[in-house]
Amino acid sequence: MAFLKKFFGQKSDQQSSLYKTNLNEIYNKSPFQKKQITSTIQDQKKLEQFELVLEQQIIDLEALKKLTWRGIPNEYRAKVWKLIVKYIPPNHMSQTTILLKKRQDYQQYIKNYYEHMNEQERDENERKIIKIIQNDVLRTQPDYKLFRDPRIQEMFKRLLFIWNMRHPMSGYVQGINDVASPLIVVFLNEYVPIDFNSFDVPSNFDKLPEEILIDIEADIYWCLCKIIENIQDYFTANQPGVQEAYVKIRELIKILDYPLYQYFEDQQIDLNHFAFRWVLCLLIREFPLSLTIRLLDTYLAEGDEMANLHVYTVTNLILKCAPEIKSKNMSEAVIFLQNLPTKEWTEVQLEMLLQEAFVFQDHFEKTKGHLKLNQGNTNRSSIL
Amino acid sequence: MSLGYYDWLVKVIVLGDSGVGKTNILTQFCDSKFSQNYTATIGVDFKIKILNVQDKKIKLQIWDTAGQERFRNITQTYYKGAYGIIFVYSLIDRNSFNNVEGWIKSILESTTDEVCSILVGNKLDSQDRRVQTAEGEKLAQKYNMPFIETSALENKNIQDIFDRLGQNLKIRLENEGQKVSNNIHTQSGQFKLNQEVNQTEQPTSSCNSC
Repeated sequence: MAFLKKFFGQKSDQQSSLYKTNLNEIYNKSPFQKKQITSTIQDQKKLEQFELVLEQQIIDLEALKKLTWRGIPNEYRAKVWKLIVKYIPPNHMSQTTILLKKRQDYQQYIKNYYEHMNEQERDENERKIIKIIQNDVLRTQPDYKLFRDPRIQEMFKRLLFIWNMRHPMSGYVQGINDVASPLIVVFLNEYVPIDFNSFDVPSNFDKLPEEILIDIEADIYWCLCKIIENIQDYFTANQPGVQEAYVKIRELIKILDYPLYQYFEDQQIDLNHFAFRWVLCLLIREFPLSLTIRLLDTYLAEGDEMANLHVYTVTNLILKCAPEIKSKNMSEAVIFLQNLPTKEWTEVQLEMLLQEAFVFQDHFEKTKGHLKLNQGNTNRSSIL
Repeated sequence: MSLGYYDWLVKVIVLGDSGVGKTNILTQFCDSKFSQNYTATIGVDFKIKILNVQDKKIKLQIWDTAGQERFRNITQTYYKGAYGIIFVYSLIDRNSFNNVEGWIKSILESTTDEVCSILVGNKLDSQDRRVQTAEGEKLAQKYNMPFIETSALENKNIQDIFDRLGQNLKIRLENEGQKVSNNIHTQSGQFKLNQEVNQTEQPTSSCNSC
């Protein structure tokens, strides 16, 4: 535990960085030139590293995941996401064939579930769900114009409805739209360059042929399936996956910041009061879109372990809020937690959050027995 | 943030189908804002507002709940200890009106405490009305609760929801005589959660007046 203590010795500095965002932004803007040169060199190096891995005949997925963990250049992101979620195979030779087949399959789904059905043919449940989807699509990522484009909205609605029909175990659950939203940007960007700051509708978007847009839709659909496979239990009845995450988060907070745990108990603050959305939507609602895309780079690099890292990331985010909330009463604390200042975060802050989460994950997953022992002792009156 | 003086602390929950405007009603009431673009509530959202009812101040702890059925297990955990319930449907969505009884029953099934309720038909601004005023009135009568039609968009009758709910809450709270004494407020006006308030949050007697 010695290194953890050391780690927490530095915690307050890191935590206070949470609230220095505006200053950071100002610094980033004024002495701009020097900073840009260094980042260009770094970007160039990163690009070369990705090129090296991606041009192999059979791509080394482990090497690719390692690189991906630290963020993917926009140019390669669509390709890399397809590879690491195993939508396309690592062997170049078979990629085109598979992609073609998957896209054809999806077109068949459109015919089966969407086009050949008019309103009257749909049963009551389907009508109900399509209305919810329609409503959610209109208000997904409300800050960005790209998501207000009618073509995008129609595509989004259709793919969510098809997802609903193909996944009867959970069906469409609100929040899946949030998880899908970064995929829309990333896969569109493969064909029409998107500004990753404004996320406006690209100027030439209306010229994008319909058949290409359907291919993009297929890619989004299949990658969404792959991502949700890892967190399926978040969306099934009673959300067992979320409950399981809560158990772990409680236990970790108890070990890592007991006064915070005690504070939550004293104030009767339940994780449901604020963390349900954090867990269910993979924190996508809590960060600006550009950062959620960066967050998914790391999450997707984790493969099957994505949900596990997510639990540690959520825990770390709660720990970072500790100095801010401990002086507040229940109402003030919940309002703070539901409206985190993370919408103003920079990529550096997000990367710090992820790296620290990884340190926790590495430590506790190696000493799993220790964590379990604690659970056995302490699961009684936990309010948190 | 100083929340100032108040006489009672009361938990209120807002229930109704997804997309009927629950979040918009609350944001209009608490923050005087409206946006077409509020994302769907996942789990619960939380707001605080002090309501003046005649000479009394009632601090409302309002839980805005997710409408989708899949989240019912989460939202139901917020029923406990609620003093006020706002049932919302959309005037342009027939189904959301048909489902109101389901929401009312879910409350009746899960708590034996009587609560102060109000029925709200929202989206009065829309031309595409699918539920008539008389139908709302009839349903409200059946369950003995006040009824009001509102527009969160145009800020029409929004304050009235809370004023009418507040009047009933006040009668109930006065009957119970559970007034929170002034001495639990610290000098800075900050409020500390203590047992007296917990009592207020978890009613022990039923409400005959609302």
